[in-house]
Formats: sequence, structure tokens, C-alpha cells
Amino acid sequence: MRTERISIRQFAWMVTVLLVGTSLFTLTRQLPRIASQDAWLSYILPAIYAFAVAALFSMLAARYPGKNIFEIAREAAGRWAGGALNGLLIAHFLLIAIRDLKLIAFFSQSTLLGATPIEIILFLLVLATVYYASLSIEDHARVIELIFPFMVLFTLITPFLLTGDMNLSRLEPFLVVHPGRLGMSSLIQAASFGDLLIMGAFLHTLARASAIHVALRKGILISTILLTAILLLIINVLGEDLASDLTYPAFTMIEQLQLTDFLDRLEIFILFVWVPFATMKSVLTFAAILYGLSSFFGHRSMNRFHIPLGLLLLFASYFSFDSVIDVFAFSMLPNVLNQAAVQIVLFGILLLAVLFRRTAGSSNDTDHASPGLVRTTALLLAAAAILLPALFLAKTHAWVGDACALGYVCLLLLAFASSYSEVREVKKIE
Amino acid sequence: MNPLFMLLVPLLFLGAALWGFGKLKEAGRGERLLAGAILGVSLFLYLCAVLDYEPWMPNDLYKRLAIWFQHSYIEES
Repeated sequence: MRTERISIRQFAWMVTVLLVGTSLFTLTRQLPRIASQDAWLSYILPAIYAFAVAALFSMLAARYPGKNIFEIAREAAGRWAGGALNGLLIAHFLLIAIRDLKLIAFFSQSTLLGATPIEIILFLLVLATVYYASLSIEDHARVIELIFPFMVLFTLITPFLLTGDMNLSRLEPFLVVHPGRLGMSSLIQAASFGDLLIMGAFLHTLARASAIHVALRKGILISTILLTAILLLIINVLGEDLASDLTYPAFTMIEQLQLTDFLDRLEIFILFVWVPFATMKSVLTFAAILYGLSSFFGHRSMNRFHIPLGLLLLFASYFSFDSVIDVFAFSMLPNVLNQAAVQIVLFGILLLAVLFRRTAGSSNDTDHASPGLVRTTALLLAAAAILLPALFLAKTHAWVGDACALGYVCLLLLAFASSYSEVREVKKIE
Repeated sequence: MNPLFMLLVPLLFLGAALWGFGKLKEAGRGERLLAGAILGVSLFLYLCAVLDYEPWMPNDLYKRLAIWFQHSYIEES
């Protein structure tokens, strides 16, 4: 079996593609519907939850070095139970791939390819996905490395290009939403962060468990910052009412970009990044399914089943989700239940198997509680804790809401900076 | 269904079958069976599309829940 290796940075950026990829089109509309102008604060609990998943992955990778989640499941839970678990994971990933492909197809049809039938767009997307499957995961990582800087660059320059359309009063008063509503929007976003499970299929691409841990945490924090920034901008530019009424508020926001009179279709350039960014999420999901299928036969080949699976994906996505509203509706409570069921079963069985089976190889990673790791986690928890007093006091004391929102942003940025120093620490050890 | 799509897909099936014969020659019986099963399900879905019949899809499982949540929680707020 050829050993596939990618860097910590590539792994982290793959995580970002998975977490941001299609959230950009779905939840930027749905979250303001639930948590009004405070929807941009819905990412902190999902980030904490994703940190917990990263810790579980790291623990499994430390116990079963050089193996992906499918191989770990078969080794830990045995041939039959592990096989059933892998079947469940493959079905789950297939549903994610179908949802994402259909969403990208609907989005492309309504923004770029108005006259093209949906099945032809799906066909082209599946063709690209199947082509990528004939390559290796290292190639996927390199393509993501090409797109990712543009994604960050556009997110960074958008506020400067939209200064004329921004109005801070659309975000105010801060933290006056009912805590239950903020909790619900966080839960829905957390389910979207559940797509992190797909990274389990690529655990074998990094040699050390500590490297996997820091890469996952770095990717989660980049995604949290990017999504927070984008939703903050959407509400700041469009307002919560318009953001929740429009089909694609993120697209409408970038439509407002204008540099000069002759450069007023800047959104086309941004779509050149957004659409491949989202498509790469489907590519990674497809690769994960292929790894899952090949794990039944004891190898890690992506190009054994890619064509038949591509055809299945094409027709399954053609018949699933009649409209984009169906995709949006599925991304809410149904996704929460779906992710919860799969993750409870998967991690429950794996943890039990790890606890009761002592046959697996133990790790030589002793840096699980490195200072950087503790610092980043503490900063993230502090960012969540700082919101609590404001949720109860901001209605009567607006300044508490303002101060806590500012503190939240500062702590989130500090946690992000801390995750970079974590990576440096691990690289030094390596 | 788009006529171009209807023409392209049989060609794809033909290509997939030819590829299957070549690629899976050295593979085991299990792999050939699995590839055949996936192709079979795809062919069934293609026939459904041609005959304008809507088969059950996994996301239908969640449809009622999705509609309930959309109406009772989001739109009433």
C-alpha cells in the first residue's frame, strides 16, 4: 500500500474546505432566520464541539497510527461490526455528497448558468469529481492549496470594498436574542461542522497523532473565523431581514461590490473561487467514500469504484432534493439528527472497542497536553464564556453587549493566533 | 429529462462497463460484485429517470421533519 503524505497546512486547509465549502450557501441564510442579528455568534459552540471531535480523532490516530477511520473501525470493532460501521459511514458520506452536489448545481444554475438544465450541471460536477478520484489525495491537497489563499484574500478585502454599504447599526444591539435561539442556531451550525467526520478518511495522510490534532484545530479555527467574518459582513451590509429572505445572501452581498464604473461585476471573480472551493468539498467527500469502499478489500485505492460510484451519485443527486429550499430545510434539524445518530454510534462503538481491546499499538505521542493546546482551548472556552453574561444583561445594559461582542472577537482572534503557535511547536518536535 | 443527458448517459454506462472489464480484471470477485451492484443501482435510477418515475431517496426520510421544523420553528418566529 503506497503511503500518502500531506503537510499539516494542507490537512488544515482541507478541513476548512469541508467546513466552509457549502455552509457559505446554506447557513448564511438560515442562521439569521433563527438568531436574527446575533447569528454571527453561532460559531463558537460548533468550534468547541469540533475541537472535541478533533481530540477523539487524535486519540484514535495515536492508538492506530497510519490508519484511517475505516481501517480503525475494522481493527477496533472486528470484521463484521467494523464493516457495518463502515457501511453506515459510507451511507452518511453519500448523503452529504448528494446534498452538496445538488446545492452547488442549484447555486450555479441560479447565478451563472441560468439556461443550463440541472442534470447537465450535475453531470459536469460529477465528471470533475470522478476525474479527481483518478488522482491521489496529495493532488487534492495541492489544488486546495491553490484555491485557499484566494478565498482568504477575498474574505479579507470584501469589507474594504463594501465600506459604503456597511451600517453597524444593523448589528446592534448586540446579544439581545433569546439564549434558546442562539443555542438552536449554534446546534444547527454544529451539525454542519459534523462534516469534519469526513477527515477521518484521511487520518493516514499525517504520520503523527499530534500533527493530526493541531492540523484539525487550525482548520477548525480558520473555518470559524472565515464563517464569522462572512456572516458578520452579510448582516452588516444587508441586514438580518434581507439576509433571511434572500436565497443566497452571500452572493447578493458580493454583488454589491464595485471598484469603478467599468468593474462592477466583481462577483464573477469571487465565484471563480467560491464554486471550486465548494466543489472541492464534494471531491473530498467522494474520495472518503472511495477509501471506505476499498477498505472492505484491504487496500486504499480511489480508482477502483470511482466510475460506477460517480454514476450512482449523478442519479441519486438528480432524484434527491426537488428545490434548493429542500436542501436548506435538510441542513437544519434533519442534519442535526442525522449527524448526531451517526456520530454517537460511530464514536460510541469505537471508544468502547478502544477501552476494552488492548491489542492496538500504543502511541509514542506524549504531547497531547502541550502548552499551546491548553492555551488555544482556554481562549476558545473564554470566548464562549464571555457571551454568557451579555445574553442576560445586554437587554437592559447595551454597553455589556457591546463590550462582550468586542471581547468575543478579540478572544477568537487570539485563539486563532495560538493555533498557529501550536503548529510551530509540533513542527519543532518533528 | 434533457435529451442530451439521456444520450450521454448510455454512453457513460457503456464506458463504465468497458472500464470495469479492464480495470477489475486483476481484482477479486468481491470487488467485481460490488462494482456491478453499484452499476446496477445506477442503471435502475437511469431507467426511473427515463420512465419519469420518482424512486424513494434517503433524504425523503427527513422530509416531514424538515417541513415541520421550517413551519413551526422558523416561520412562526
